[in-house]
Amino acid sequence: MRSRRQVLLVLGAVVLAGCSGPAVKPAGGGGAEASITYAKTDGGTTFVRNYNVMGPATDKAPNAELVYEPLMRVDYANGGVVKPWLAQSWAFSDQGKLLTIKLRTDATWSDGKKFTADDAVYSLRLPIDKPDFSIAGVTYKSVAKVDDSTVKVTFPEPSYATLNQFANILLPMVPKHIWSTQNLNTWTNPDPVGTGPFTVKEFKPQQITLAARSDYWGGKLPMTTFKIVPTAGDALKAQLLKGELDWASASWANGEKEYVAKDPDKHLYQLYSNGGAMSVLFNTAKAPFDDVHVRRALALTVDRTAVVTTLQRPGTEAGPTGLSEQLFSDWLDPAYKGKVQKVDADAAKAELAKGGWTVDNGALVKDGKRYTPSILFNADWGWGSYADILINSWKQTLGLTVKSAGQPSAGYYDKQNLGQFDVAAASTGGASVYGVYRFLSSQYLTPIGKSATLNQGRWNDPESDKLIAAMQRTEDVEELKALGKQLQKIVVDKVPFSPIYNNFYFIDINSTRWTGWPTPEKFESIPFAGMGPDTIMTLLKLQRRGN
Amino acid sequence: MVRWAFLARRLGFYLAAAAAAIVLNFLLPRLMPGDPSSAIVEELERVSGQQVPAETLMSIRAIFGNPHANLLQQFGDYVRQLAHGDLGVSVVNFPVPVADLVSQAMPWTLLLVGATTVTAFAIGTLLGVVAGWKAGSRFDAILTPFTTFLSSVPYFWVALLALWVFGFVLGWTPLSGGYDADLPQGFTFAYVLSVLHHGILPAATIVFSAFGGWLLGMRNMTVTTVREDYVLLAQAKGLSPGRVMLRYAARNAMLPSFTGFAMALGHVVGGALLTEIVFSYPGIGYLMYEALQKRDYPMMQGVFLLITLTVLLANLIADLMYVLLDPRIRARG
Repeated sequence: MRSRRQVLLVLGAVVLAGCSGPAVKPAGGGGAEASITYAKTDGGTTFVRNYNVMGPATDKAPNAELVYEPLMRVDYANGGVVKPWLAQSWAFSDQGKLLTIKLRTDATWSDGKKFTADDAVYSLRLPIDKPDFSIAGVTYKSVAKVDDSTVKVTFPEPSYATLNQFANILLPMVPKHIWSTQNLNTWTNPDPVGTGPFTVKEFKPQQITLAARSDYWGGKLPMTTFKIVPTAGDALKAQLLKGELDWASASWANGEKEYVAKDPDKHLYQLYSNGGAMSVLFNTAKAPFDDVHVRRALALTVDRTAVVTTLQRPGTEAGPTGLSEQLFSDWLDPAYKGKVQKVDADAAKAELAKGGWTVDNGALVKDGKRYTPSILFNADWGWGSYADILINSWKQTLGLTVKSAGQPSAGYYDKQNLGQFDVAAASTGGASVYGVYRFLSSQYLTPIGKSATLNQGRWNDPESDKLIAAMQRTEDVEELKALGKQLQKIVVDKVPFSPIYNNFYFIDINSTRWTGWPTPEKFESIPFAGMGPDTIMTLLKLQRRGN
Repeated sequence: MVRWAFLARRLGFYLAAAAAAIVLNFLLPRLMPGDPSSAIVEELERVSGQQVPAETLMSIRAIFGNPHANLLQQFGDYVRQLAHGDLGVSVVNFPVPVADLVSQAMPWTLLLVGATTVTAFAIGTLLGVVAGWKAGSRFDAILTPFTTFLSSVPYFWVALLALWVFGFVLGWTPLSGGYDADLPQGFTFAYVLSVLHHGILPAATIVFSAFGGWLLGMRNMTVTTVREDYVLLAQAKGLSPGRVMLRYAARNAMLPSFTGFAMALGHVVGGALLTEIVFSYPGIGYLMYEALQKRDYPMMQGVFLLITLTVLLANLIADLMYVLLDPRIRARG
């Protein structure tokens, strides 16, 4: 009997909810309250109030970069050059071993106190003083105050190339007068005080409301509040279509048709290159991929177009250098511009012949030894169908059988780090040309069976080493470009890895309430909300629609 | 006398099971491939959209480096912590204690999964009795195959379809979240209403997908029970059909369902991961998923321990209820 009453109750609730539930409110709000709503799709269903931003946690409160700012930023619109942020300017001396940083003098903490060299010294020293706490991973050895707005940082070796560590979101500036009084191993910093344009107004597990400061050094923001809500895949799409959200970063496989086409004026789906590519990484410490001819043959027969077609991202095939044209157009060797390697079975067969290889019954054969390689990929990325495209392509063009060896994330990284693979589908990339190629340095070389941090393909080439070392020792842009071009040639000719398609930041925008967004054709900042200063620059330029 | 001996034996069994659970709970996460540091690296890459700088990578390894060191000592520490009721500090949310994370998520899970488990059981069992009572009737002939069909539809699909139809096309329910975040939280009418409004669709999809299982089990048990002599006797005595159906047939037919129900109640604290993902609903399910994915040992242990203990407790209660429900156990005990 009781159960019958329950049924009625549930039905009653359904009807009640259907008729009288609160109506869906537009996210922007009206009148004096100018709000923008950002949907976080990868942070779970609830947020945790943890603004201990220097700590090793990976799940901190989202968008803390709007509260705490770094000294510098990486300019992705300009080949990944490091630009000032809280630092006003800097200069290297002592052959790149001493860095003197001039700080902005107009930045204040949200509690009204001035941002000074004491704060910068305290923040920069945290990773050195507490290596068990910070995971920023810095290369400098000491930090000292010169005067109220100048600090100097010393390195054990020339460090022009690693300047971007001061742009790391894991190394933000924090106020000494608050942080130095806390036990950082237990403190969750619920009410963060930063130099950034926002403070935390209200924190609910399913909505964070940040309030814009009126005294931000970077200028006046056009919005009064910035709201962050959690959502996921399909709900996000529906919310964007309905206009409940303004902004999100998530890939939408058929976004052009399902979203943009519904209202091309207001629905924006943008792809910004993140400078990297998904590549075929060869284990060059192991036969048969220690032979350049085998690597070339496989690289010549990757069906890149089929892969991007399946991804529903036409035209995003990667060039042979692994540097994206959107970001590195000034740095790319003109010979490689606009080049995408099409499947070329004849050239690939010729390469195999040149190396003395034959394919017999699906196996690579040389000097009586047979090899049947496998391709390692991350099954958690759903990469299986793309691996199959490569496998089929190699089978059809070369007759070679490559086994599919998908692994969940944990096993994928384990095997890659230990060198227990033949070829792997891995992402390559970095903030600058140096950042993209540095992993090829034998400085990071470890034998198979011992975990590698960077050089998983075990590339060991004196010429690459020389060029990478030279890049570390100069800040002259023209010289860097010249060195970069020589490295590009090595990558194209010797094929330590072979890029398949460019990697992107995916941005979804509903510009019903806010206009003035960057576009992939013309941008100064990438509107990817995980990148602190870029997000702030994007926000500063927005306007209410109709105003 | 006999009953007490039975209870003592059961209690002993459950204590042993709990002890074994604690040991396994500690060991299993550490036997899985992967470790917290590679999970952290992957996460950082995803959040920042960039490759993690080599230096960062090395310092992560230095902090979370070797998870295989000194297992015995780790276990000692773990037991000592547990004895103090301390579940430890989450790695991915450092320095937030696991207990805080669990207590933030638990009320939502208890509310959603608890209510839907009871509702699905009630609806399924009641309809199952009716269907089984007159097996082959039109009611049975339509409902039973239909339910079989329903329970074979993947839940994920049902949830997405419901979200699309009721949330997007009709606009009756919100598209995501567990409450209206613009309202102040507390026991105000508007807030409670928003919780109900947000919860109705997730709850409805769970009930929709789950009641079929209860119905089929109950129907089949009722079909066999109906042919028992004592049912015939009750009918021969001239008792009302309703009384015979519920008091005689259903009470006996329910025993296996009841065990299942007790176990289901134990699993309530595990949350409903798919529901939480589709509807962005707060709860334990996602916490556990995240802990597993990111190799957050303290969080994994905390949530697993909670689930294991609740399942054990629910089973213990089921055992005790059985003693009351089924006199035969008392006699044999």
